[in-house]
Amino acid sequence: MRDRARRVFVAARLLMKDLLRRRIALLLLFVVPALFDAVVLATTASRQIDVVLGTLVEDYVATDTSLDKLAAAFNDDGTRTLDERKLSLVFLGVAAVSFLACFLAFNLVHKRRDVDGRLVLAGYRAWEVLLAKLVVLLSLVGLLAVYESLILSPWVVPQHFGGLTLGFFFGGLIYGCLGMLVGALVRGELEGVFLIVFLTNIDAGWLQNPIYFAHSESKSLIRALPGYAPIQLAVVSAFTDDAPHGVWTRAAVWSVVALACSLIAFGLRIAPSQKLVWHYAKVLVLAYAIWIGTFELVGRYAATLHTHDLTSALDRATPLVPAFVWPYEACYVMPLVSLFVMKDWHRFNIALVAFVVANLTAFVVYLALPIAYVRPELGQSLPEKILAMEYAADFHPGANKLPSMHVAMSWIMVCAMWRQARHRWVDFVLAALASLITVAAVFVKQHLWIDVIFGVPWGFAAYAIASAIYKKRVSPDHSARQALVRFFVPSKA
Amino acid sequence: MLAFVTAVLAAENVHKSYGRKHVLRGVSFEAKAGQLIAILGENGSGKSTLLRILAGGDESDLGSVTRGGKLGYCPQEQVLYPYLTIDEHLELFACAYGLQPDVAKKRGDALAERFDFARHRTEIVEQLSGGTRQKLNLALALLHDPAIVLLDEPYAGFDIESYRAFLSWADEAKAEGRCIVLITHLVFDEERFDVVLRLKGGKIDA
Repeated sequence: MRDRARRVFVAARLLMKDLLRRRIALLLLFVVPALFDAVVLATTASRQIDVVLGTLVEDYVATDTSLDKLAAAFNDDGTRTLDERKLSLVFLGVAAVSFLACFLAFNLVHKRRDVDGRLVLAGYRAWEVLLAKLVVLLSLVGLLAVYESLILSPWVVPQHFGGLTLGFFFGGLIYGCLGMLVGALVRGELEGVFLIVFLTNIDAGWLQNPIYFAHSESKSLIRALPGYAPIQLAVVSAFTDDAPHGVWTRAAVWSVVALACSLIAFGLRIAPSQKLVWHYAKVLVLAYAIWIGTFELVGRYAATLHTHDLTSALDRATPLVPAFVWPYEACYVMPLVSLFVMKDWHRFNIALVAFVVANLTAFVVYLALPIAYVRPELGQSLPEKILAMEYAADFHPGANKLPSMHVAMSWIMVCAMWRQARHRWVDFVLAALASLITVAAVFVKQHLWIDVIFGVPWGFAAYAIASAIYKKRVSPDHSARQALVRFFVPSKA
Repeated sequence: MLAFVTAVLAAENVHKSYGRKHVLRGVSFEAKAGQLIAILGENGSGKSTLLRILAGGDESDLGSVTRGGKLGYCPQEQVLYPYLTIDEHLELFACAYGLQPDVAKKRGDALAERFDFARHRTEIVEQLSGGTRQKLNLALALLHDPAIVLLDEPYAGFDIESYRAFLSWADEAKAEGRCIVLITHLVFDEERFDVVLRLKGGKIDA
């Protein structure tokens, strides 16, 4: 344990040196935040403006605060009056930290991918290198957050110094992780830098500006973006005496998601034994994109046709159980699980062919027999909020229901992964999960019983047909990777 | 002398494609301890791909590779951290190989002396000449005293003295029973090699 910690420490120390010895890195760390602040001080007026602090409103509503306190906290129209210059300093402080962390993290990963891979080949474990990078990133983000808070202090005396610094920290952490993700995914440096500038400018540098947010007509969209929680946390902590409860969950969720994605992508990228997994991860993303596009097209058209209500007495007797939304959403995770379970990648290819077979045949039925039915009313619990998003994204009055692709695709993945895992019990867990997904589709009222009754055999039949076609078309001499290309892109020769 | 008497490195029916380009089409060979093996072939014939697969830096699409000992791999490109010094690289890779600090120092000193880069040890890679970077690139592959050494054009950019130093190292390593597989374009020393493998059309040309 001590030896592993030493290895991580040595790597972190040297990777930090490698990053900070570039003059541009020091310039970015210490000069750019001060430059941002200087520009704001030179160009922004010190006047009172009305802004909406989204989090505060949420908190007041959630905590049933007395009318007196509400009246003291807000103007009549629900806005708050703040000094524009001070507000801009804080808002742009988060934007500056986010951008710098994103750029530095991109540099930490992108240009060093090959040599990091060599280090892993030499004996470092991929997770040790990942951990070392994370230590470097966290140190830099912490340094940036404290530095930004300190250089702002002559102009903004925050109500909560800790909250303000944490706002900067979360901005840096979330965007730092996204910078690592871009560094792991993007091939060229120019494309990477463009993506970083684009992402940080659009979100942290523009949409999250409280002045813009006050008059935005899409506040829910802005709240869903990664820059929302850090900027709200910083602004609320700087100018009010309130504890911004609402943002912690958002900040934590974005941090965990961005961190997990960046570490997985970077780990797959540098670990030589995971190159096939990395290849199939990219194939999976492409397959998802094509599937969503075609499913959407068919659904939108089918929804314009004459629809049929096939709701049975059994469906009417089946209650809504919002908690089933968790297994229902697990359907999207099953193909990801297969990346780490698969031993024979030909089976993954067959699953992809089965997806095509299942969907193409289902599209014929969707167009011939569009289904519509009324969804139940939903409450305010988290599962119900997620379900509300599912319902909202669905086609109205209905389409793409019989057979259930959710169910068919889950069973296709069970077929593909059968006996692939090292331990036999994994097969039974996956089969149990697919069964749960099948039942969940009905209990979350996304499907009727008839949809899932057809969905299960549809999945098995699609896998059997795909397997037969694949074995006929693909030579056993071909590797899985080669076979996939040859199957979907036939040679002209 | 190392105790290997049979094959320490074996490739069997190795295939590799990039998209529709089938680079390796069933490469098989065996390498024994104490052998110096050259891999020759035209540009784009798959030499570097083969070496990378042998080193474990890439996966073959089909076929298998068996390795029977510690392995050192020197890639064709200088794969280094641009803002770390030579000493820092040696420290980091010693850590990767799991070497004790005193052993690592001894090995690092010996390699620096043999390949004549001792006076540059505190300079960062960005400031080094191409030849010195290549010496570091090679030294990182040899730091842990591997039984199998895979070298992809290791002396590109070397001056004649460094080239001689390399040949002298290769002779000693061979005599100690190490297996060295080398990609090279310099074939005027062909008698020096125990085996010469020519890659053509994705296969070993018999």
